[in-house]
Order: sequence, then C-alpha cells, then structure tokens
Amino acid sequence: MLTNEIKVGLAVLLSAVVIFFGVRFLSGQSLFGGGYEVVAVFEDAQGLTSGAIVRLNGVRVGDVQEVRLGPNAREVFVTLGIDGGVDIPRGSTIQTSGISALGEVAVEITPPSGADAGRPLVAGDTLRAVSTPDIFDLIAGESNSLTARADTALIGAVNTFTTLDEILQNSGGDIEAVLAQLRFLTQATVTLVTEEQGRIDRTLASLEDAAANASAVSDRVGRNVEDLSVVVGNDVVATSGTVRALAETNADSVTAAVNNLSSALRRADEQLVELRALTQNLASLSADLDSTLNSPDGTLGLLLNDPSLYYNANAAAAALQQILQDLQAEPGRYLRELDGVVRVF
Amino acid sequence: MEVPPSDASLAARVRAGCAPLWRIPGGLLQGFGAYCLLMAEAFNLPRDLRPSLYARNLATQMVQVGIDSIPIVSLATAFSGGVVVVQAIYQLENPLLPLSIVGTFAEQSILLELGTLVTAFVLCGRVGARIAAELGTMRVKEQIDALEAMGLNSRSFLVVPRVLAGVLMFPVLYVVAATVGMVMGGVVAELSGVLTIQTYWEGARLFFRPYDVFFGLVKSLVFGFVITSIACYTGYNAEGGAEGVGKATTRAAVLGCVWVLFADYACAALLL
Repeated sequence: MLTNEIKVGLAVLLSAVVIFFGVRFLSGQSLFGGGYEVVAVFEDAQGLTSGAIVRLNGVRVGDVQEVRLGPNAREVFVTLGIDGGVDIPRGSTIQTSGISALGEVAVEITPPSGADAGRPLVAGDTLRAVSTPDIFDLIAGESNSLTARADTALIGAVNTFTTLDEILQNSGGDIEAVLAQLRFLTQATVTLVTEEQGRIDRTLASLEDAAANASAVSDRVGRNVEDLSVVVGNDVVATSGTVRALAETNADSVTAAVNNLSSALRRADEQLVELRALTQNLASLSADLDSTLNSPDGTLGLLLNDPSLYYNANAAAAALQQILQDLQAEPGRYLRELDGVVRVF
Repeated sequence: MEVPPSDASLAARVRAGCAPLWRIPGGLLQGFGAYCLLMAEAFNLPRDLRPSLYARNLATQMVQVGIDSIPIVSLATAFSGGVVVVQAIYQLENPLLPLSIVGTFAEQSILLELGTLVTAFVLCGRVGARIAAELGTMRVKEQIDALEAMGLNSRSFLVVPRVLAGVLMFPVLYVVAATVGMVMGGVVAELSGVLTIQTYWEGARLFFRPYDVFFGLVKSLVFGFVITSIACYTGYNAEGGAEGVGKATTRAAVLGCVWVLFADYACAALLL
C-alpha cells in the first residue's frame, strides 16, 4: 500500500527526474548521452545562440551548446553538440545561416567532396568556420548604390518640376507680352488721338465752315434765282445783264467756298482712312488674343481653360514635397521599402 | 454664556474625526503584524520539537496539498498551454517570422509565468480554502484551545506542517504544470495543422535557458509559502462560529490571490 511518505517521495523524485531530462531536452543536449562535441571557431557568430540548430546537408544533427568569446575577443568559440551516430567528415565547411533578427540563425555544415573527405571528426576537434556576411551587412553594402539611385530619382523629379516651372513661366511671359502689346496699342491710340486732336478739331471746324459757306452760297443762289425770276419777269434782256453781272460779282466767293469744301472733305477722308486702319489693327489684335486664349492646343489656352493641369501640377508638387520631407525624416523607411530591390542584388 | 472648547476636547474631536482615515491602514498594519507574529511563533520550533509528531502530520499535508492537487493543476495548465499556442498561432500573421516562434512563446510563457501563476490561483482555491476552513473549524470548536491545554504549541503543530507542505510540494506541482502545459502546447500545435510538433519543440529549445526553470522553482517556493501561510493565519484567527469559518475561507482565497500577484511582481523584479 502506498503510504503518504511513499507518495510524496515518488512525486518529488519524479519531479527531479523531469527537471533533469526536461532541461537537457530543452537545452538541446542528448537525453541519454551518446553524442559528442566539437568546437567551431567563427570570426563573427552572426547572432548565434546556444540552442541553435546544427544541420549537416540540411538535416538536423545537433545543437549549439555554448557560444563564448575567445581571447581578446578576436574569435568566437562555438561548441556544437552532435548527435551520436552522426559522422562529420574532416574538411567540412561550417558557416552560419539565417537572420539573427528573426531568431533563425543556424549552423550549416557542408561535407567536402568525396575525394577531399577525411576521417570523421571526434569529440574535442576544432574547426574554423567560413565567415559569411550578414544580411544587414549586405544591405549596408548596397546602401551607397541605393542612395545614388535615390539621388538620381530626386534629381529627375527636380528637373521635371523645373521644366514645368519654366513652362509656366514662359506661358506667363506670353501673357505678359500680349497684355503689354495690347497696352501699347491702347496707349498708341490714345496718343494718336491726343496728338491729332488739333487736326481733328480743325477738320471738324473746316467742315462746319464749309457747310456754312455752302449754306450761304445756297442762300445767295436762291436770292439770285428770285432776283433772276423777277428780272426775267420784267425784262429778259435787263435781267440777263444783271445775272451776268451777279455771276461775275460772286464768282470768286463760290469758287473759294467750293475749294474749301473740297479740301475739308479730303482731310476728313484721310482721317477716316487712318481711323479705319487703326480699327482694323485693333480688331485683328483682339482676334489674335481671343484665339490664343481660347485655343485648346496652346499652352496658354490649356493653362486658362483646362483646370486639370493646374490641379495635377498642384497635386504633384504637394506629393513631391511630402515625399522629400518623409525621406528626410525617415530615410530608413525607404531603405526598408527598397529591401526587395536590395535582394535582387 | 457659551464656554469655548478646551485644548483637550479639541484634540479628542480631531482624533475622532481622523479615526475613519486611520481605520484601513491601521487594520492592514495590525493584520500584517499579527501574521508575522503567528509565523514567528509557529516556527519557534526548538522548544517543543518532536520530529515524529510533525513528520507524520507533514506527510499528510504534503499529500493533501501536493499529490491530491495534481489532477486539477494538470487540467488547468493543460488548457493554459493549449490556449497560449492557439493565441500565438493566431497572432503570427507576419510571414517573416518563423513558425517555430510559437514554441518559443509557449516555453517562455509557461516556464516563466503560467506554470506558477495558474497553479497558484488553483491552489488558492483548493488548498488555501481547505486549510482556512480546517483551522477555522478547529478554532470555533475550541480544538485549538484543547491542543494548548495538552501542552502543545498549537501554532507550530498546525501551521508548520501546512506551510512546509506548501513550500515543498508547490515546486513539484510547478514541474507537473510546466510539463503538462508544454506537452499540451505541442499537441495543440500539431493538431492546428499550422506547424508540426517538431517545429514547436525547435522553437521551445531556441531560446531556452535553464535559469527559466530555476526562476519558476523559486517562484513556486514563494507562492507555496504565501498561500499556505495566509490560509493558516485566516483560519487560525477565525471567530464567530460557522459564519466566521466562511469568512476566513473567503479571506484565505482572496488574500492568497492578491499576495500571490504581489509576490509574482517582486520575484520578477528581483530575479529577472
């Protein structure tokens, strides 16, 4: 019969046994012995820890028992616990594999080719491991080219936006030129009108004088006709003499009035021709400006009539500014994003 | 004419006004002091040390505290280990992380924390309540007074075997809990179909340090002492009949859980 003492004794004993074998098992040691240990000397352990897996041609054959620094910290001595019954040929290549950040650093053993294979390793043998660059070293090595590519991309972006800025500036010059031309024409018109104001006034005065002279002449002619009819009615011969006398008397006045009228009409005609030419020039300039502003093919027309270009340029400028700020603040993030690019190399 | 209060009556009124504020910390300090005195008197063994008498009692208590608790502790930690693995798999969404990390999670969680804490909570209910009810009943039925009348140091006779049984058997229960939890975690990992049990054990071995087990054993010693000693204190000082026994049992379970949490933090802060 199991007494209390026996029960307690069994429980404590079994616990001790479980602790012993459990610790050996979780430490990667052989439960009942039979294995052997060899020492591998690494220049860089690459984050290797005790308990890491030891593989021979990809097959697990043991665990890392201990990782310790050598004298002057020049080398790292790694004790490998190899399972019993596993022979590792002398001359095998030992190196680490995996990424320490992911906790999967392991020791890989690659046996030599058949001709070079020596006798198996025995307990206590020491091997020198082949140094392998860490993945982060590879990334660091590629960082210069990554930086150069980033610089190239940034320079391209800057050039693109510089060109866009030049286009905008050039378009702005066109607008300014057109406006300046319009302003010049307007000023020229005003100047012309101002300068010719005297001539225009004189022309108009001449026209009025001519009209007044014509009216006076007409009155005189009317009175003469009346006198003539009176004369004709009284005495044809006497009247004819009188008419002749009147005609001879007023001949100079009529001639001068006709000449004045003719000169005034000629000057008015010249002024009208000049005004017509000026109006035509203004109409042509207005049509050119209108076609330029409304043309869908021109840069100016697109800038004024197509809002998408403005929105696209605005959005592109904002996105580039954000990218530049983000890259300046967290360059490591872009390095991580370019991790896939790095793997290609 | 109204007489102004004297200095003496003013001080009395101030004391009376401050009394409620002092009641809670004063009660805590008084209880803690009584607990320390009980432990000191209980472990004052040389005066009436009789090994044969204590040994038989100790063995009985070890069986009741340890052996009889194995099934319920195994059940609790088996499910805890399984849940840890399921949750680790659920949270393992990053494809860059190896599946073996599930085993690492389980090993660290079970050996460092769950193996001891789940066991402690289970024992607070099972062992702490039993000890408090047992001693409380002895107190209200004046059996403790009878022991004193027989010339025995009732404190040593009743408290020491139970506390020693807790201190000695809790590490055993921790080993059982850790073993069952880890094995059950591996089984659940295999059944999940996400990773194999070999991968699970690879992860468990990857970052294993023997110190983890040592830490768990030390914590289990501390928890065993805390649970059983508090249960002995509440039961030994029970009063008022059946109702007093009930209160003592409740206090043993509640105080045991609370002080286990404090002790857990203290161990982690001091030993990790």
